[in-house]
Amino acid sequence: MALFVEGDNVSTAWVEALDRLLAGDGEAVNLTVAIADPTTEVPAIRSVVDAFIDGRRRAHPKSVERVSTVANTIFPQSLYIERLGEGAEEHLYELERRSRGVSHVRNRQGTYFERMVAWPLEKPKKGQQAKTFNQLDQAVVRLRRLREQGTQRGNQFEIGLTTPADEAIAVPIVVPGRDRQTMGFPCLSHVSLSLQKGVVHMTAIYRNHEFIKRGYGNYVGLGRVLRFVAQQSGWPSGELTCVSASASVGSGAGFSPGALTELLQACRRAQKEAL
Amino acid sequence: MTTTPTTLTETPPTMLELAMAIVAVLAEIRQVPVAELEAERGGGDLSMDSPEAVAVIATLQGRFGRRLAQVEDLEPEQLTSVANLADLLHRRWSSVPITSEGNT
Repeated sequence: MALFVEGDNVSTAWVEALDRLLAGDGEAVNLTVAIADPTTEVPAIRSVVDAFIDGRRRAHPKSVERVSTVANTIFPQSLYIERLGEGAEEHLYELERRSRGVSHVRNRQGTYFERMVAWPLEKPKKGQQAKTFNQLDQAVVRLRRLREQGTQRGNQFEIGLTTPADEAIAVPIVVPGRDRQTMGFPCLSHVSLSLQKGVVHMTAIYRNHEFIKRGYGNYVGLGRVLRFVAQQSGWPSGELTCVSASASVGSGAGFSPGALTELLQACRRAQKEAL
Repeated sequence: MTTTPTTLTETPPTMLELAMAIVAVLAEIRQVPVAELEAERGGGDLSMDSPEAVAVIATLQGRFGRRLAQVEDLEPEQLTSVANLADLLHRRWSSVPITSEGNT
């Protein structure tokens, strides 16, 4: 059965979902996490999660990525200079274009952010730049247009067949014919943005979610994307709902049931102390 | 006037020159004057986020016409400050090939 979890912010929602997963057998289908404000965290809980992951990285380098690294693959916050206003958008895109070659040294298939701002429209030819499409910019432009028109509502009912050039406020991630792996990148399949009563909301779909290795950083990164789109289009940002078709707490060294229960207890203590 | 290397050169830049080149690119990324970052650095170190470090490496690769990073260099723990990055680029200078097109 599906699990439905709600939280005020990234941290409390993630802890609640972890609790529900551990109360079962560590796995779930259709784990649905609704985060009222995905642009905020509880620093004390984040510190616990960071410490847990840093411990695994020290013992088993590269077995797990930092929360900040995971979030940066979805949205590289430090390249978004908010005080530049509308100019911040082009500055961000320019830095992404410039960084792409070096970024590919570590992430051969690119990052989620790259697919949002440079969706491949064709197969790259040797020695030539492939044509790409900026999906985030399209979402920002369309939402800006709705604001200029005084329209407070805009959405599109999708069945996962949208292409970036369609007139939807949607951001597909999986490239048909190219992404054939059953595990690994890309796990995030689709991002949908909707405007309801003058607030921009986001829904994200994961086909497979390694909840502890990726979940927290994914929620942080998606919250940043939502904030970026909302800021750049002039609307307030709303909630994030993330559906993981298949979710698992993970296994392997450092992920024993005892270690994960300790992690949950440490998060709960941090949550209580932060109140 | 102090200058920083911006063109293809066989002579390895000093750590100081590399640090100054990094700060100049970082200022461009953050859209602040170089003097502001130098003041923040105060002759010591200056922290940076890993996407900033990747953008700095990409920019300097283009300017120096030389590949300056390998996969093992791009772990986030290694990309945390101007001094870390200057040290990394200095070590890599003589061990990686000059690229024909500059920006790799």
